[in-house]
Amino acid sequence: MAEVILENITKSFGKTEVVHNVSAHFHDGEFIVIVGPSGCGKSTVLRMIAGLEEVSGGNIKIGDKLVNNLEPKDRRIAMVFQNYALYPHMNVYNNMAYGLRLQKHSKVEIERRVQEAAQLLQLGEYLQRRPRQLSGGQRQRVAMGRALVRKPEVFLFDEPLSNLDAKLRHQMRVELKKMHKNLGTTMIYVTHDQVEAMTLADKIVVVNKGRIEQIGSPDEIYNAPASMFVAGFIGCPPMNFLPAQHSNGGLSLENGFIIPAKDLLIPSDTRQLIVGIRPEKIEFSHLQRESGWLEVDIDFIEKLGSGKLLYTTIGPQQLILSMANGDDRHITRGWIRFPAEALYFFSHQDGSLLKVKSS
Amino acid sequence: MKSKVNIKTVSYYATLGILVIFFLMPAYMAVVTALKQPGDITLPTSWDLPATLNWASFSEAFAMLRPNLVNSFILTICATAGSTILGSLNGYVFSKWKFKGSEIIFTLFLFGMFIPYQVILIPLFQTLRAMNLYGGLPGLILAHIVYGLPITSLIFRNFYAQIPDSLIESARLDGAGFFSVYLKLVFPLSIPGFVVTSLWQFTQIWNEFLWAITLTRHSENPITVGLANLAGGQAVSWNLPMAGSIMAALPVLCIYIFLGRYFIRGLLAGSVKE
Amino acid sequence: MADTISQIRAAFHRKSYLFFLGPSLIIMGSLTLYPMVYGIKLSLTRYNLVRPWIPKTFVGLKNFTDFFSDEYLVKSLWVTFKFAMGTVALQVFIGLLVALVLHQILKKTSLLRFMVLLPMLIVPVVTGIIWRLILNDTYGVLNWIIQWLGIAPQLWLGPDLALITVIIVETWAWLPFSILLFSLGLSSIPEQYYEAAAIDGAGPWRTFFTITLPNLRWTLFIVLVFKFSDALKAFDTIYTLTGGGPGIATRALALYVQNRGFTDFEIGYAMALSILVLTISFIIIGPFISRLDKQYE
Repeated sequence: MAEVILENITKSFGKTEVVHNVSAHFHDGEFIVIVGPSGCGKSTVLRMIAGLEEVSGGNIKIGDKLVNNLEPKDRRIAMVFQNYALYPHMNVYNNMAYGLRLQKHSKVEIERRVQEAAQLLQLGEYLQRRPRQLSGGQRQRVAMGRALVRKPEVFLFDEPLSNLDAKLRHQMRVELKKMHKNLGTTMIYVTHDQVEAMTLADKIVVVNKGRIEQIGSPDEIYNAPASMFVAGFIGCPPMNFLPAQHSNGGLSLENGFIIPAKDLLIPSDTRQLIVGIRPEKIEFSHLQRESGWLEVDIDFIEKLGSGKLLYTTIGPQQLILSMANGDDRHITRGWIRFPAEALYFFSHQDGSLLKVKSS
Repeated sequence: MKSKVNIKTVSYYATLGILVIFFLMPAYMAVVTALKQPGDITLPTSWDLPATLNWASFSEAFAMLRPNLVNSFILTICATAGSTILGSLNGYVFSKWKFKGSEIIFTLFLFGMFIPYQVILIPLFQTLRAMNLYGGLPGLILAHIVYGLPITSLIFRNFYAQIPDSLIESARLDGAGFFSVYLKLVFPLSIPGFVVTSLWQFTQIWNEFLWAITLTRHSENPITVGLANLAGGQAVSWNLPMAGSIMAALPVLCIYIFLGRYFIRGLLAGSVKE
Repeated sequence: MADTISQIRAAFHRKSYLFFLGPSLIIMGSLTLYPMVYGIKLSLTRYNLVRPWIPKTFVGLKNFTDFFSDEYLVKSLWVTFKFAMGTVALQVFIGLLVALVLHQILKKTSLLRFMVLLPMLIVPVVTGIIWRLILNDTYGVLNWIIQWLGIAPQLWLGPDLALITVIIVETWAWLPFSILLFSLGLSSIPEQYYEAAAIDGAGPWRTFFTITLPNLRWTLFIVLVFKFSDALKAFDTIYTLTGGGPGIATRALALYVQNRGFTDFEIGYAMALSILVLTISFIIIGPFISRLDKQYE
């Protein structure tokens, strides 16, 4: 059991810095998900915590111990790799036992730990098999088992589910969450999948271009995104963004439509801004409405089974609306409204969230 | 459509036929001649099967070439083992433990692969003499190990490039160091690599002639030199060198018969990496 | 305390590659670098092993300037050039042809594959000896065949034909190599390319020039480099077949170097020649190595 503290971590490969000044405090027992697009440096951060990459600057503490110069094996961590990295020439039992043998545990202790993990992961009947005789899901479990038997203070996961098919991925996600609940060990999980981030995390770290964009609980990240990047990355379908001009009385979109926003206190020096709204927050009506409603053509509809997505455009901007099922008429046009309380405002310059008070 | 198939089939079998004759005629000639009485080897009948089988050619040639065969086995086995084992260690470093300058060293290694043997012959001869290794098998073994290293290191490097890095990292997390990663993980996975490199090295060293003739004394001559001497005399009875040639070719042939498919597979793995 | 040990171990760990690379570097250094330097030094001297009373003297670049007045060198360069052109052209052309026709069955039939590989596995010295028997003007089966066809027997290893004969024997010995590489290259071309070309309505010739050949570029490049560099090295087959003769008709560069060094014992001059050979071969293979490096990155 341990907390993990990152203090101004940087990482450079040659002259290019790929991780810039990352600081974070992960508490004991938290499930942390580091999420970001591919190449954003999230895996590098994880690998620095593991000790597979050296830090170029800053400090990493696990527990209360500075681990910068410690060998990976001395950091009391365990890691699960994307491709599982199972030893192909060893059977399942030996894959799990190998690290314990190197740590000079007794035979009895090794046997006990491996059997325990095998039972937990339902691997009992496969212990004598080689990795290549196992299915993808089973390999995944072996990789988990190998981490489990070490009884680490921190678990590290590097996109562990991305090689599984959708159904299995969902199943493993649930099991992983259960495992965390039972063990209560700190887990740090790297993924590019925002669904995994939302469902698994106690705390999400959104990373972009080697910088932390935001740290927060899934609700905070979803409801109060710190930037356009976070707002666009978390949530599916993503948040809609519409460039707008701010003038007194409202926000005029590029097609001339004005969102009434009299009671919003937008700093008067901000004329240009980006308005964001989540697809499910846009109100839709197929009956004609008057003031505050915008008439749009529906270009096409995507049926999801549990609901549907409507695609339309405002000027050059695509707009997605998410709706519940119900009205199955063929919709080609309709009226939409942007409720003021559901709007987000982002800086035109750097995409950061503008603090707007509604009076 | 039908005629097209026929043209294809005809060209298949024509090519096959010509190839068989072109490739196998020398082998046929060697076997047939080896089994003849010296007196029966004449122009009009050279193509014919021997009237009586003269197995004595083989025992006679074997008696003459025995020391050379023994030398060749010692030379080839030692030098093959040395160059493959060292090549595997190098390949491990070059592909999994890159360090500053490792790429440069590797490129230098590659150039070593293409140094023509005769270029290095004279200074090598002088160097071995200075090291007191000239004339005997140890010197020749050492020379073959050194000049085999570039190709073996290259093959192993490419072979190890296919082992995912995460496997090595995982072993490091488990607490394995540089040496145990090699012994417990990389080495057990390298068997196909060892098959390919040792086959290649065995063939190269067994067949090598120029260094063999220049760097060893008469008593230490390997089989290639022994054969050349046997066939070198003008008044030669052809059955003996032919019997000797067959004996000299056998070890390599046998190895390929038993391990050939691994060789092709290994080559394929190395050369068509996408 | 434990942490300090771990830190020391980590530092040690980072250098442990030296244990693996070290032995190779040491023996390679002593048997390549040292001889190289020594060889360069020798090439600047006049040094004759059989006339030890003439002291080893430093002559500067004289050995190298002597190249220009050495008509034997010019002749052996010319022989090497013709030998290289002949063997490369034959091996690339026939090798590609055979691979195209047979690569499907070569993949499946191990007996045929073995047969094709056979010449490559035979000791080159043996190749020379066997072919000497076949080509022998009085016993040789080749003369027997052409006589049967009504052609006068030929002196295959005589002054007129020796070089051509040597080229054909060398091709026999190394054709497997190019067949093997070409068929590996062919089997690595994805089947979809051919299917796409067939759907587009490309005929066999068009398919060959637009799909097969471009995808064999890398293979072709490898074969060319290896074959040219082999031509510079060619020794064993020629040595056993003709010994460079008759006269100097087949004395390629490698044999000339060996002759000057170990028949005439002019070590200094032979060394200068070796450096010439090395330079030529590095010019040929340099671009190959720089690409090979990229190929595997």
